[in-house]
Amino acid sequence: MMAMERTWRVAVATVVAALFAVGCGSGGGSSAGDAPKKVQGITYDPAPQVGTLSLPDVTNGGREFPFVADPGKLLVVFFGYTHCPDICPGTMAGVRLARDKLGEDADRVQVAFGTVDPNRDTDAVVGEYVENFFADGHALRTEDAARLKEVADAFGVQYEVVTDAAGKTEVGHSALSFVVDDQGRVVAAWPFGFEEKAMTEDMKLLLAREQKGTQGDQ
Amino acid sequence: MSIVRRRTTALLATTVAVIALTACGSDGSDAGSGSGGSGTVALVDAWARTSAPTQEEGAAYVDVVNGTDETLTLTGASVPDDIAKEAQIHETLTDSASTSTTGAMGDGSTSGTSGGMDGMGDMTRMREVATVTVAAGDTMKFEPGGHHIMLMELRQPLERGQTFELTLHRRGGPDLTTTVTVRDA
Repeated sequence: MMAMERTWRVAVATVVAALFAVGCGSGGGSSAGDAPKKVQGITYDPAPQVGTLSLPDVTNGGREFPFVADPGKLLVVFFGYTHCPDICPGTMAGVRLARDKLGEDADRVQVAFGTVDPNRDTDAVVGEYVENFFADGHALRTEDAARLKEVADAFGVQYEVVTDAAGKTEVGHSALSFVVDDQGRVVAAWPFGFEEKAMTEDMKLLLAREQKGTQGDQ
Repeated sequence: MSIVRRRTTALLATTVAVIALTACGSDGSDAGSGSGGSGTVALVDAWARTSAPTQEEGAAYVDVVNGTDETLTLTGASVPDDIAKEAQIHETLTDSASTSTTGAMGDGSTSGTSGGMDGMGDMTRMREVATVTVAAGDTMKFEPGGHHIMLMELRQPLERGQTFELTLHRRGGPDLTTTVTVRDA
């Protein structure tokens, strides 16, 4: 019931966003190359602001990593855990493939992986995990449950770590990758299984928007 | 993209395998042979994803083509001991927080459930499954985001191009064996 309602709202949001995009169409100025003019991932109106939040970046000495891309860049954020054999490495591999297709623009897409299972994912474990996929990736980890929850809430991410009496741990988490622009706004979200080709096209489109300096648009 | 390509590849491979099986009739090649059916069971396009050095669990995928006229029941999986300590059949499920299964783990402790932006939140989790059935004539895909063979406690990181043997155990028949190739996606 709730899930359906949510799905419905997303659908509405997406359709509204799509109409908006079509409405702005040629005026929006996203005419670069043959790329689609519309973001194919999930979009939100208004785009959630996450740039005021941060988590410690264990791949950078534990310094705070704000959820905002460097100027002119995009930041892809995923929340997972390293004991996840299917969804998490699949997502990381997919984003890597999609980013590689950007060629020399690949370094304009930053990637961060936040662990929802900090008890098992120590700094070293999650750091090496992320660097295996992205040499320039950011591994985010906090043991402060309230901070993690605050960040997850801002992205609309759910997660749950359950350990039974025998010590067996089961983790649930939202399997979405989020694209954050250089204003700290979530400008797209890709569900698991989203085609890499479409991810690349979204990256190109969103990078082109940033290049055109549309900060503060609408 | 790669999913589509993979599907195409799998389809192609399946077609090839089915043709091959049809051609060679009942003697079954390396894919195990059907018992009591007219056809055979084929394991096609088996692959596992490369793993990070600190990744303790891996996943393998395969298409199971049941060319027999009987339901096939898979009861488990195994891989050589130098690959992983154990292999299990798992399923990735997506549910919403409202139907989350806190309590399914008994006296578990729960930390950090959150909900926020509409539509973003549905949770994905994994579950071990005891058996998987493939109806006569059907193909069951172990694939990312669905059923997968979970490799527990990897002995070494899985390296691109590496191969290893995967065995699927079935009820009422001989094991099915195939070669898994490790790749990025």
